Amino acid sequence: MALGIASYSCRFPGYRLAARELSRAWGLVIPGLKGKRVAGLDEDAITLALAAAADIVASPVHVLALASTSLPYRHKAQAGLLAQALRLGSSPFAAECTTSDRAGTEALVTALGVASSLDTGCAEGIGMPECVGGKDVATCTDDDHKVGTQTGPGVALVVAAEVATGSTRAGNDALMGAGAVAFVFREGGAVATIEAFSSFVAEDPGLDFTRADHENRRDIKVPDYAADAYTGAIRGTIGRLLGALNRELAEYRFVAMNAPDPRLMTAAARALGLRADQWQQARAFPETANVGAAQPLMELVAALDAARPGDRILLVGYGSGSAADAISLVAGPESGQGVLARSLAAATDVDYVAYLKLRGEI
Amino acid sequence: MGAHVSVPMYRRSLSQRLCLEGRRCTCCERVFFPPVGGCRHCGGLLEAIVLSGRGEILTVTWITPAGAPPEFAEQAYRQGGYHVAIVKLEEGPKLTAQLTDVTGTPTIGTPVRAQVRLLYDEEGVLRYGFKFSPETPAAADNDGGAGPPEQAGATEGAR
Repeated sequence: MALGIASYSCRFPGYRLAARELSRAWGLVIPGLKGKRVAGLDEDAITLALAAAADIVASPVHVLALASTSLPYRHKAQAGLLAQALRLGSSPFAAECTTSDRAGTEALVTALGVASSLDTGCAEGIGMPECVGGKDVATCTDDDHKVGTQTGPGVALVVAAEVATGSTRAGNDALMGAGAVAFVFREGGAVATIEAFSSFVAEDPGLDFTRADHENRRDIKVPDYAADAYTGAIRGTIGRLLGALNRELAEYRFVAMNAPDPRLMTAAARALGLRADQWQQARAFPETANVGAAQPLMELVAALDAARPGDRILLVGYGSGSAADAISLVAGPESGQGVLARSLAAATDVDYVAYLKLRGEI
Repeated sequence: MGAHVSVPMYRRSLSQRLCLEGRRCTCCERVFFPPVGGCRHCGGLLEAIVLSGRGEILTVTWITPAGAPPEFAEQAYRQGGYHVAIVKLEEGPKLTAQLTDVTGTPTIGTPVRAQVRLLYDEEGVLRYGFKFSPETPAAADNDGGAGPPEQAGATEGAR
């Protein structure tokens, strides 16, 4: 694929709950967690997604992929609000990935696949039955297609956003945070290039799920099963990718992963033989907690911020139930932009009572 | 009494609510927001313009739960109230909006920037629109290619 990351950004709500508040309320100590962000009453996954995307949006955009497990509607096409607010017009292919935390990498792979299949200089590209210049397909010419200087693969905007929903007493809620991340992919993107991806899918019922007719996340709480499923999915997809690329895991400077529980990631890292500096440095989790579908891409932001040109990054997205993607990237000359730290700079600390009010519990 | 905005009215005004799309006179360059039909100053024809969202507070007040219209009653109850300000945008127009993400005390002259937020839920349809948040140094720094979306493709976006 010739597509690379051209720009990236993230956005968080201003309210912050320090980890010590979770300790005071529940006696919980979550390894590695310093604090998390909480959505205000006027924020949701859509407003956060929009804020992150608005920082970097360019024109035109041919593919818009939105990932979230906490969109405000369960059934409604919601990318249209982003498309309208960002003035992308009505022609982008809009994908909405919503059923697990893997949705972030699912959206990324989907967007790259569709964007790569387009030839934006020509109305005959797959899935582009209309002229990009807005002319009649029957009579348009190459001059009509020169919107900017883009020809070849399309431009993709991938946005992942999450807010915590349901009861604060349910499942892994203490781990759940709010935030959004956005990437623009285009040919020759200088932040990082995408080399290849591989995937894994299996049926693992009972792990970190929310029924459609219930509000709260649940888990059957069998730790060995959860570890087995998680490690199996991570190994499955990474193994396939490394085999195809004929490469060792040690060659990757950063392995950016997400997990429903930090202990699962520790176990998987040990099983894979990762060095500590590959997966424990440059993490988003300490300041973001688990931002669900946005978590894999948030960890990618942390890795990109720390990477030097030429560093290999392995991104793994995992969704319980299960599915996973592994994506191999190489950091480019425009990596290391300090995006995560800048976006976390402004914070208003709240105590646990204020947190419960913001979450609608009291 | 609240301000009932029907779903068709809401839908037709989305480019104002989400993008701050106003009008600029092609003759005298005066900017209008919300959009109007013709220039109130010289009668000239208008063109669409996306405003930057940057402005400053002209005046600000605090609405308590007792004073909130039905659309914002729940918000006021849960938050204890909310700020409403008249903001003068850098392009000229003045408009009334809530403040959000307020730290400290907003006052006359505080620089603010527009944000799209969830306003309320009516008829089961979520209503989004702009509020203003005080500018912070961090927000200003995030402006690498940032702020409002690029204007290229503005004609495509207009419905």
